[in-house]
Amino acid sequence: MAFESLQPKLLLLAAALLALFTMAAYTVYFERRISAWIQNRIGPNRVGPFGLLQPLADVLKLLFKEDIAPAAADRLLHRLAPMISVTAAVATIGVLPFAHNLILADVNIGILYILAITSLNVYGITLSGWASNSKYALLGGLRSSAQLISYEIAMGLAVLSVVVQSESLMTSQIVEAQAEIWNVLRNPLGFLIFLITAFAETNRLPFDLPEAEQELVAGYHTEYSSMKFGMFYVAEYMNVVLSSAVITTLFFGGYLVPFGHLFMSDLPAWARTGLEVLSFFGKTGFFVFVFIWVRWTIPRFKYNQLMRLGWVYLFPLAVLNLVLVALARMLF
Amino acid sequence: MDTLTRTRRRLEALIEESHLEIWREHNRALLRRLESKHSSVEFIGDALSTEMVLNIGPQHPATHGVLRVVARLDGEIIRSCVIDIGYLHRGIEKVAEYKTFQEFMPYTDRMDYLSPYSNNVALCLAVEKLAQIEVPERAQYIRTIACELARLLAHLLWLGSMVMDAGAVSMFLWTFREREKIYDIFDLIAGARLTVSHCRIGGVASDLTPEAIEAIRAFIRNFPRELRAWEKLLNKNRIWLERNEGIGVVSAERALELGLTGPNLRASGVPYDVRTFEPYLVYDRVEFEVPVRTEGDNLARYYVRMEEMRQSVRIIEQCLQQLPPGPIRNENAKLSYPDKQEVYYSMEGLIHDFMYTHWGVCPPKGAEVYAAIEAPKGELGFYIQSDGTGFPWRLKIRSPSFCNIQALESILEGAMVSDVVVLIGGLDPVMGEADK
Amino acid sequence: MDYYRIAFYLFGALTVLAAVVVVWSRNLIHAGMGLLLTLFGVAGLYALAAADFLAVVQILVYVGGIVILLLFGIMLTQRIAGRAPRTGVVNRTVGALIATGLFVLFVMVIFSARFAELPWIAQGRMIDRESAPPVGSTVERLGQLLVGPYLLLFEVAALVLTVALIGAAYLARRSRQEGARPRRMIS
Repeated sequence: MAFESLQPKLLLLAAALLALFTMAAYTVYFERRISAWIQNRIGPNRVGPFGLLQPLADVLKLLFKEDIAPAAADRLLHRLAPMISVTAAVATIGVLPFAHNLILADVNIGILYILAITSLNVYGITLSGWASNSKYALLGGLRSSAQLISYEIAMGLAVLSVVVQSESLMTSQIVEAQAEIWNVLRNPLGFLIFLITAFAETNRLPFDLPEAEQELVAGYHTEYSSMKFGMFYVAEYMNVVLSSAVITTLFFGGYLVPFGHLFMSDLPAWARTGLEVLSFFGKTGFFVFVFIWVRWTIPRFKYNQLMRLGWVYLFPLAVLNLVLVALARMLF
Repeated sequence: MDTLTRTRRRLEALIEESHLEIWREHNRALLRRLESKHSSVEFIGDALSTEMVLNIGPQHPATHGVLRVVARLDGEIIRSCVIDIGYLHRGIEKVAEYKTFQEFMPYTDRMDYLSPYSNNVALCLAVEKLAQIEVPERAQYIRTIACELARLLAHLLWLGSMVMDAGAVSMFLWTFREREKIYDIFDLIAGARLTVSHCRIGGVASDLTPEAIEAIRAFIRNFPRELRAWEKLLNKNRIWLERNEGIGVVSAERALELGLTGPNLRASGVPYDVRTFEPYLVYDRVEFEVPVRTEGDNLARYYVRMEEMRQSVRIIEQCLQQLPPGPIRNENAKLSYPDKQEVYYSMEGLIHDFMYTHWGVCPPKGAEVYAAIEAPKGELGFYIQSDGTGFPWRLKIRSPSFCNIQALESILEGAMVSDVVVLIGGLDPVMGEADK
Repeated sequence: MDYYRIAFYLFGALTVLAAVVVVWSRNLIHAGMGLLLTLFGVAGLYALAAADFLAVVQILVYVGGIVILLLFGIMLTQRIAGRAPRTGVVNRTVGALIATGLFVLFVMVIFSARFAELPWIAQGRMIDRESAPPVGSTVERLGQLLVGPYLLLFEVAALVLTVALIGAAYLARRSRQEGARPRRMIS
């Protein structure tokens, strides 16, 4: 394959990466502003207008901090773990459709690819927990591996119900199949299950047991500092953004503009694409807000409650939902 | 190899492993105690037994100060644990022997620093009982109001930090906003926000200003609404309920054996409250209920304290209504500080002030007294022996946190790591008071 | 050299080098990570061979599997903190014999198979990648094969896995009941 044919894809990749990193950084900013708003505070407002340059200052600070590793840490894995986390988060954007025909790789098994790549995230956390040679980090790492594996099954089943409805594993076709009606309306239970498992997979409250700062100090990244910590931090927020994007794609019609069929066909191509991209990021932004909102309201689960929720409630519900969706598909 | 040798070897290995450089002997003793709890533990070479010893504190985000818990974990479950306290020990009881009773008061501010006013009152009541000093009615009402405000102050911190320990951080800031208002009220009452030292032996330092009364009124008007909002958020929250229900259960008998007092005891079903048991100040003139629950678990402690806050508001309301006019300190200048007007403008006043500061109030020789109040954490008692001088010969403090913390070891065993923080939060110890 | 070839050699090198780490590393966790990379490399090779479904499933299945392996690595080594989990060298003679035997067997199989003469490989060589029509999704065909001609095998595999699951649950349950007795405590 010639380089020229890759060029538009590379440009898109660069744009998508830039968008993702910016969104992750500003999710941090908005998380702080929104939490401040929930808690009757002001939040960061000193760096730049409305504190908008705060993420930049934070990253600079992290870059200039001393990089400390515990003396008895496993140097190689200690360094590798945050990279795995970030890589697993970034790689997901490959198959997300931002607009009609605006997708990095419209592969046949898009949604499976997302599941496979996000499941790699567990390595970043487990390895960081083990490699730090710290008991708190280890407990965090072990918690996380149990949690991620448990919730992956319910998540997979929820995704499967969507696949049954759209008869394709391709993300673009899953979106197109929602042209008439969004999946959230056809498959509300599946959406609920997916939303809960998405919270669990991103380690956000109420599922933030791996880092539970009141119990485990900082969980798996207790022994991390400087940009290595920064990478975990970025990975967490990227996962939030990407989970929101996947929720949007699977259940909320992805890039489809609501009531778009009424006026979209009259618009020029660039305007259509622009509107679709806006619609995609708008929906994603809403779910990012939901993630933040929940985090600052609810207490955290206990380990046994978490396991019970995952296995006793979510798993059978997901199976039931899959059967229901399949039946509905057969009958109608 | 017999069990004892094996245990000892394991212990030595443990100590070597943990890289304990500081206070080697202390830590060794602590681990030995952990090993010897209940029974000696035999380690069979089970490859899948994932026991480890986890050190929680004294620097840990959720140990409420400098409490240290050394726990032996099997997975996430705590098999045995020991509590290590004393990291905030300042020898307050010994310090008291070198201070006049009035001079000692600022030290009591720093015991339970969440409710300094209660500590002041407890000391004053003990000394007044010892030296038989009458306290004017108005001063008693002011003390009652301030004590109940202090109870709100302490319970608000408990609520915020306990919910935060369970993971909901926002609650902490909401309760702190209310605490801020109480601090402002204390500023108006005493001129200080945290370390008030507003009590004087025989009365209080200054009268309530109209502004202060208005601020208190405004606060208790608003506060029940906030309380209801929080209860709305928590009382039906499944995560919150399940995290607290059935954990850290202390039966009534066990609670009495351990010497628990305050909300922790009342959550176990023992309706003991010094305010109704042996009424002091004006608690016999106001109507209030003592909330009691029988479950004895962490959730019961939560409900009891929430209800106590509501009752505190009731007490303050009634006190404000009944607040009589009159002097705020005992008029006898040998027993209590004279008014500042007198000190500045009359020779006798100045002399009395000087004498009182220098020698203080002198109880009869050989007198001894124990006086207790219902502090937010439980029964706070001062036991004083006098040798006839202005200095206590011996002053012993029965601090509720010190006794309540004894329950921690027994309720932590069998709990999970996640429970540690909510259980500590539920018992609500303040290390400044436990370590004295 | 085209990009496919570069990618092929990259994934091949990754697979082999990571496999070497699995064999040579005495640190259990490092070996586990090596295994992950090996399977990752193989998944890459699958993807290059247009077996996209297989590639992704490879990652999806083995990622979870290796995490469990790593956890056992962590838990089987008694000291959690302070020392790297290392494996000892045991059964040198038997191990060497088995390894040599397997090696000889594999080499014989590979050379006797004559891959180059197999009809579908020979056909594949003829296809020019640039002009060939894109390969469609393998998912549908795989699915039809699994519930069609290979249904019996599929169900047998499912049964075996179910039995294994029940067995594992039974074992875990029994050991927990034993743990509930004061086995390790003596007065």
